[in-house]
Amino acid sequence: MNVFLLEILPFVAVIFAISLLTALNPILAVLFLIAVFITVSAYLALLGLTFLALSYLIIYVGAIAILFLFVIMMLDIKLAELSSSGEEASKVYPVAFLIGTPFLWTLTGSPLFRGDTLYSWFDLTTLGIAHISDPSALQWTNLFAAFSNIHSLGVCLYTVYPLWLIYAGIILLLAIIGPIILCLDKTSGSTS
Amino acid sequence: MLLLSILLFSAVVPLTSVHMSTHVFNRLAILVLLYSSVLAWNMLYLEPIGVGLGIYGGLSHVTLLSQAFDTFILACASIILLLGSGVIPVLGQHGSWFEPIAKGRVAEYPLIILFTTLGMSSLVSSSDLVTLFLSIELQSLALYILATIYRDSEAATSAGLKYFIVGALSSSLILLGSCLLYGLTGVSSFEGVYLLCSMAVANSGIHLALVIIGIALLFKVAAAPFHNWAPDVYDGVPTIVTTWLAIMPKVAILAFLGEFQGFTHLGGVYETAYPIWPNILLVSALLSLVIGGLLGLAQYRIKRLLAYSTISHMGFILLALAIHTQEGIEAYLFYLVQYVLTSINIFFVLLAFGDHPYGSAWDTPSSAGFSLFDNAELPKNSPIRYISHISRNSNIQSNPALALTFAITLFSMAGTPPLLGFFAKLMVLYAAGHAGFFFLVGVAIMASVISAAYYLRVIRVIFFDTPQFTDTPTCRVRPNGNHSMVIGTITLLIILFIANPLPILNCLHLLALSLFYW
Repeated sequence: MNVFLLEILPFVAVIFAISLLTALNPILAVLFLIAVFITVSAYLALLGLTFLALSYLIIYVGAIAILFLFVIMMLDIKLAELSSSGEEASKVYPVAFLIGTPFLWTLTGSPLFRGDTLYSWFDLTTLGIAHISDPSALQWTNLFAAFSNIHSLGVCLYTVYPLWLIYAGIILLLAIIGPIILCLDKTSGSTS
Repeated sequence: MLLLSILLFSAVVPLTSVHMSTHVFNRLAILVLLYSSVLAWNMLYLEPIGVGLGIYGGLSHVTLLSQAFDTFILACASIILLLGSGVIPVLGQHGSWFEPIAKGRVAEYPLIILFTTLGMSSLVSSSDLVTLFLSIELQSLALYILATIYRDSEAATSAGLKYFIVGALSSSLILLGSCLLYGLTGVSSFEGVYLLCSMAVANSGIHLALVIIGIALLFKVAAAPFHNWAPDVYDGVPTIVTTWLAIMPKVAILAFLGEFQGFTHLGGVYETAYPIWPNILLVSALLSLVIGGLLGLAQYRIKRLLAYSTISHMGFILLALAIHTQEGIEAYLFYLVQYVLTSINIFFVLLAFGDHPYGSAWDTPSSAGFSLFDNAELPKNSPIRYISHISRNSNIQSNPALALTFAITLFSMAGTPPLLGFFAKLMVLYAAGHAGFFFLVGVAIMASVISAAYYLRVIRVIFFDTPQFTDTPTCRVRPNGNHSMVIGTITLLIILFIANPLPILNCLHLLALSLFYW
């Protein structure tokens, strides 16, 4: 079942992405964007990268995409203008194709680029310190105990690095207070 | 203590700001800062501090230097907060005109100040790249809010936005550099960096990471190739906030730089495996000296001029940092202390000029579209913006003592012999010459001579120019008690340093020794 889902989900994501590009209504487009994020995060969760999946859900879907949605809904744009701008946008597709294809090509590794995939640029072996973090050397530890991503991150964060958590908390407190200070209009809406 | 008081303040400010006067908060914040400064001072005498002590599992550390900087930063913060307490009674007396401010955001000002001070003191004692990033974020996020806190002024808002964008850029650069370092080596603590630096073989990826982190930190202190935002931001925001922006974050980051390169042995041109680090500092120092000296000549707005003078001071400090001999560190510490004191004094005097009965240090809403010869607004509204304003406000009859103080402080910044600034420059140049940087010494001397020209121009405007705006009645400038106390004390310190230089020098000498020989 999982394997089947892993096969299917990328295709669903790609279909959503294409419909995101072709959607004329911006609200629909943002909804498709959210759908792309959700499918990708499901894909990541199935791969076992639970933390990444959750952060996709919380940050992209929960905050950014919803923010986009609100902003677009608040902007008062006529639908006729939108459809005309959509037609203009469709002229960009060839350019997007031209830019996108080499990227895909390098990502998957083509003979055109002498076998250099994009991944290999970030490969540690080319930077000369492969022995420090060779992934194959670590895999036997999984035989003893396998934690999920979130579990191990949480254990780390709360036992070794609680100071950072506290700092992040203070920054968030400031981030809550700051906008209130900047936006509060005391002259009009007095509580007393 | 700081954290506790922040929590208390954030609970108390919204609850009681309707009933309580705003300067109660200000005074409380001053007391809090002073008390935490005393606490930090108390820590100085603990024996293990000298060796350096990792706290919170090695995520941050306490050394003699960090504690000394902590004490200094907190004390300076409380002095600068006095500015706010000086202004608020003025707001009270002339209530109607200042209504939007008096009702508005002054109550939150000390709260934000406490936040950024917390960020600074954790920055000074951070010993991990993530701690570094988090504390810089805490500090600068509060500063962005501080810059835009007077949101009715278009200039302040745009300056705040600019500050925000540049700050976000440099923060992301820090993140990028830390990511590279961590990705390449799996090391994020400074001890790990120290181990890397003491290896004989240098790695180009680590070079890149160090360059990126260094550039980001130079962005934050507005050193020369990355200085463009500083004059605009300083000019746009209200002068009280400028005082804070121009002094405190720079001290914190420079303190961190000194501590960082001392701790990880990155400093020094000859010893380290990564000479790229002192080289960045040297290049930046050279450019800061030249740009700060030359571009300051063309300024006619006083805060822009001070911004360029700040850049040229940054050049001296970075030069002293890059040398990283024991003399160099001593010179760097002394220059930093001197720079902070003289800048505080300059801004206090500047605000006192603007403080005459109908004026205030805060900008007026109309200051955005305020052209040089548009003096219709001038009688009421006198935050000092142009150099020519000073001659109107403070010509020598109106308050001779204040004008004299301003002149003395400017002379000290220019580096005229018997004053404090001269000795700072002398120490930096002496250390640089001793380490063999003769070209940079020459450039620094030239730059300081050139920059003396624009300080002297301001002095000429004060004492010799006829006032431009003779139609307005000159009213006597009377700074209030706190202001004049601070101005007087610092000015006396500047003048009388030569009489008894040993206490400061010995203290800094010991600090510099502790960085090298403990």
